[in-house]
Amino acid sequence: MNRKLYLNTLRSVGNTKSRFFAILAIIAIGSGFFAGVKSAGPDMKLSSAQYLEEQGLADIHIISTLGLDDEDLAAVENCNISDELYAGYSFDLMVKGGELNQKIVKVYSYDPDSKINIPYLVEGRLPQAADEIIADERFFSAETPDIGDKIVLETGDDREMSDYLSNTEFTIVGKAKSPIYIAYERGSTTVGNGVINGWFLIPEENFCSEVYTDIYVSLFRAKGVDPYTDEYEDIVDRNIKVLENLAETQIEHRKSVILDEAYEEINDAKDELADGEKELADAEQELRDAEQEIADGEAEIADNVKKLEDAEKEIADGQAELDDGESEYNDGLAALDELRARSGRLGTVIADYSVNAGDADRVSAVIDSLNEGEYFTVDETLEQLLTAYIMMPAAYDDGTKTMAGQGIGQYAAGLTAQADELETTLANSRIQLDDAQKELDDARAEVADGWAEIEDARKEIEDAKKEVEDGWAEVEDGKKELEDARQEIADAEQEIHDAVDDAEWYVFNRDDYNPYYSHYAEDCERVDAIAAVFPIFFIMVAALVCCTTMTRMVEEQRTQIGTLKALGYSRFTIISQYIIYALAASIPGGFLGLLIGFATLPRVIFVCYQSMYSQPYLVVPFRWSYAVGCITAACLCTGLSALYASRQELVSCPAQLMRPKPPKDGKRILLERITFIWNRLKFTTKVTYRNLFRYKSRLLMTIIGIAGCTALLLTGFGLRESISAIVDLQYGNIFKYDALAALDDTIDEDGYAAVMEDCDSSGNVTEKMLVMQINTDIYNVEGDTFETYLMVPEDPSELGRFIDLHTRQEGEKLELGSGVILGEKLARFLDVTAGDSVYFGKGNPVRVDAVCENYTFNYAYMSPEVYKKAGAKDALKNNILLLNMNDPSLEDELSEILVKNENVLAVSYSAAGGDKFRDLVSSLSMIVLAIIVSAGALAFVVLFNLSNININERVRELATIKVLGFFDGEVAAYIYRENILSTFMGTAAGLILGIFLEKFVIKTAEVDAVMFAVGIPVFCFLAAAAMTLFFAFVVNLTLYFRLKKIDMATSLKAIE
Amino acid sequence: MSFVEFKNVYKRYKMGEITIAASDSVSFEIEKGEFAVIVGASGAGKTTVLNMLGGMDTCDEGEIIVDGRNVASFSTKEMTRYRRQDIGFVFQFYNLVQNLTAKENVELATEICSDAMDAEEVLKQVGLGDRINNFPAQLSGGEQQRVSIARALAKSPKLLLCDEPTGALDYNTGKTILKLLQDTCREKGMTVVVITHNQAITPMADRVIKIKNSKVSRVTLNENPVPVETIEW
Repeated sequence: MNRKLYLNTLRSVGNTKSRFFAILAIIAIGSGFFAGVKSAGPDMKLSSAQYLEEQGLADIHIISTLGLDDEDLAAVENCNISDELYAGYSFDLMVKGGELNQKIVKVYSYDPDSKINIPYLVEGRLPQAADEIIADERFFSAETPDIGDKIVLETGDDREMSDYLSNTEFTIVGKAKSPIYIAYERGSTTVGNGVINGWFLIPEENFCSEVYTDIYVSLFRAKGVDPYTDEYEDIVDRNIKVLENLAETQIEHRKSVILDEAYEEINDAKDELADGEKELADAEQELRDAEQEIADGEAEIADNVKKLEDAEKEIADGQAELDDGESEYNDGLAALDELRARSGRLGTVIADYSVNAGDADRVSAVIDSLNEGEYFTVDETLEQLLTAYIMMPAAYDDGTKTMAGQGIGQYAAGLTAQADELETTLANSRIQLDDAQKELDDARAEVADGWAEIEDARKEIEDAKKEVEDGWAEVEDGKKELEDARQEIADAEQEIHDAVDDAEWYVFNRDDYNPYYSHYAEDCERVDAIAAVFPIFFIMVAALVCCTTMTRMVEEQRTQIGTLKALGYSRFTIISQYIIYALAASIPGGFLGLLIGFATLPRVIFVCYQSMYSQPYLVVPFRWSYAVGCITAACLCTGLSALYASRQELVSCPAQLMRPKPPKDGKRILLERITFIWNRLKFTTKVTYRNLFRYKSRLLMTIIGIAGCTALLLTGFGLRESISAIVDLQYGNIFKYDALAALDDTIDEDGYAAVMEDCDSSGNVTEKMLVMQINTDIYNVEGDTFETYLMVPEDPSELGRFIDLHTRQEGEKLELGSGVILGEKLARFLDVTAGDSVYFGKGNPVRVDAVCENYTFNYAYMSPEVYKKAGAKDALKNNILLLNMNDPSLEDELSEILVKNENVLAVSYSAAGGDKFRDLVSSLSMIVLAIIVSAGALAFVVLFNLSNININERVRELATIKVLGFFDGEVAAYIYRENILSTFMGTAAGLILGIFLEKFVIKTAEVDAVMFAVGIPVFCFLAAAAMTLFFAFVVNLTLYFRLKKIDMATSLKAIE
Repeated sequence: MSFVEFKNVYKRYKMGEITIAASDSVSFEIEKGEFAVIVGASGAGKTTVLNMLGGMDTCDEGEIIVDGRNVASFSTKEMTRYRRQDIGFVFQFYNLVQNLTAKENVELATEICSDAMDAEEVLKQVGLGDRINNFPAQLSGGEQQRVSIARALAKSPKLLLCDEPTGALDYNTGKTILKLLQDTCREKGMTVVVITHNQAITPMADRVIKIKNSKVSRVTLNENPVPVETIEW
């Protein structure tokens, strides 16, 4: 090719700067957007893969219900599948005091030498001393503690801290991200309110658990393999199988260890129990003996009482006797005195010997005086003697008197003797009486003592009885205790057996132990899906604009082409000029776009997702495959349009070309045939319509360009609305329940009752219903299968209070009947409608009753009766509890109550479920914003370029009407009317196109678990239209100044 | 005072360092109802005069009086209004809007003019009564020029300016167009200014203004202008 021609081409670039840069810009926008959005997903995956590789995220995570020991670790090592292994500990603990008071954290053991799950340090340093720890860089729902903060840990319940950690106070020295946590969700626990807020890495030496809780495995085969590929999955799956086989034997080993240990303890306890029982029996015997003794004692007391009473009687008798004796004695004393007195009297009488003889009177007087007492009576002898004595006067004594005196003396002496004898007798009697008295007194004392003794004995017996009673009570207690102990031992035994029977190794892949791992991949793919549609659109519009621009250029240079041809240049040489021009714009434009696109768009999208994922950095490689593809597409696009545009010029002969191209003929438009409308139009409007339809291809392009922009904008807005609406629709209109409690699989009737009771006691639960929710495969007649959540409510008639099943379009309420109700997307997947049959496993067909509105996950609903008939493999057992609350904001309070119940695994709240999706929405909003900005840029370029061409082509016409006296405003309006009309037409077409585009994008971008809301809200249409019109307005504004500059003298020039 | 008066009008263009005067002290007069021809070779500066007279360009110095008003002192807006109301312009290449019919092309002018004539009426006057609904592409050059004249006349302008009206036409057609212009001038008393490089048509004019080297070299008044039919070139 001629060098001068090159020069001409290069100069033409300089002379047509605005056109050149228009092509460059549109190519840059198109390819930049395409490459940027297209590489966002792969970049994110690549970055994640690199990060996970660098941090050595374990490929496999093993946990066991029985814990893991060194033998397990050795066994895993012997499998020869790993290049790194780490056996460590992790526990859920509670922070005590400080800002994090009562917050639950997960603590992991940290071994600085381990190459698995290396923390990605964000701030601070790694621990050096045993009490230094690394904290989670971002706590889930609490303030993240700072470096230097002291953290005190406790168990938060009745577990012993010493079972876990030897030290409980730590200092945070660093903050890090952990590859274990892909997202910011920290999981749930059975401790406290059930929400784990963050994690701490604590140096290994602090842990004092007997067994490991986790074994992390890094597979040597997976080294360097992209974790988001099937190859990686295959490797991990194969190795998981190996480990699962190992699990079979290792779990038996742990079982026996556990059982041995447990039985040692149980046997000890049983021995203790036996001892206790023996002791109890002894105690019982003792008590019984004591009872016998008490009975004996009581009998003795009764005897003694009798004896005492007898003795008392005897004493009374003795006393009576004694009293008699005393009385006799006293009589004796009186008699003695009398005898001695009489004896004395008789002596006196005798002494009275010389006394005159007496008479009878005197005798009777003496006798009377002698008879005065009661104990002595003068007997006949004495009377005679006396009479004889007294009667005989002394003088006359004949001896008779003396004899009588002597007789009397003798008598007196007899009396004295008698008295003496009596006296002796009395003295003896006195002694006897005194003795008797003493004896009685002694007996009395004895009796009194006896009574006292008896009283004491009685008291003693009373005490003994009480003691015995207490003893029995104690024995009863002891029995009860023993019974409890026996039950406890039995329970413990049962528990151990249960634990051992249920014992299992869980061999998790990354996805199993961190569900967000696959979410991340899915999000990357979702970006990819969006990337698949939008950029192609951009490229299409770019191609269109290039084509128009190049066509115009070739048309403008018609004369030059003719001249060159006439000078003898070949067609190829001439055409290469335009191709060079096109390439000169598209290659730099493409590279510029790629550089900007690769560097910015993935970052923008990544930043959106950083709010959800803990991926710390983004790798943005220059993707040559995309670059080459993009540039090739751009070159083809512009080059082919150059070729296409110049096709006619090239076949024409030079003479034709050098004559001005005959202006395009005016034509009547269709509207004119409808005269009743046409005649009513204002003249200017008619002109507008005529002009508009004069260049149909350009009108079409304008419409397509603008329609494309509007459609993109509408899709962007609509997409955001569709996604954000899911949250409110699913958690507002369909899931009416406030909370969902997941129940343990082993729950029994008592367990249900306990959970119900806890709900009632919380005072915040207004309604509740048990539901069985299982993850099961559902088949259609063709055998296509899909995994779904099957919900079987306990009381189908009340389901509406918790989950509102209704059709989407009609909003018709659905009741569970004799069939199954499927979520909309599920039905779509299975390609079934109401009336068709579906199968659960190998069971009986179940009729599809209806299809209900559903957005997140895939649900199927049926009544328990239907479930039983369906023949699914799982037995009917309710495992979740739906709750409605008085005050749904009091989540923590309810959680705290429910999670304490061992039958409750976790409690989740509708509000929180919604939040999770809201995060997703906010991240997508940024992508949508990027789309909107790009669409806006595109709209601007398209409108500006097309309007520019329009003006260039019609500059003569415009100059003429200026000469005719059109004001600047009128001239502008002359063009604007057309622009506005075509913009409106484009916008309208775009709105219609947008509906389909949005539908298509949603279908592409939708993941299996989510159905985006259908239908675009009116304001999206308004916003999309308004934005397009705004761009059009801005473009028209800039055009005004161009129009103003048009020189009227142009109208005088000859037609080129 | 004459109807049109140029008084020492200058128009200068700056071409880099050099200043070129396209009009160098141009002065002339045209009376109302006259048929004036401004004649000169290519590049003599006659189009500059036409532009200034037609309100399409401004002068740098001097006065341009049209019907007692100084056009030279007009603002852009006044200038547009002047073009709109007072000037009818006939282009060498007709400058019809291809997409509009004959009638519509005329209407394009009448739409914006306050005391415009009826478009069909004017077209009948220029002899196109039966072609009013044809598009320019369906008309011959002469017919197109007639439409162009009709478009200018429809505004009832004070001044009809024609830039080489026969330049793109063949001899006979050119003659009929000139006749139309002359008749219009005579019958309607319209002041017509024709710009041409063709010396031959000067006899039909009332006044001939000769421009040479950006200056008026001579102004000739024809006491007895001849009808167009008698002129040959």
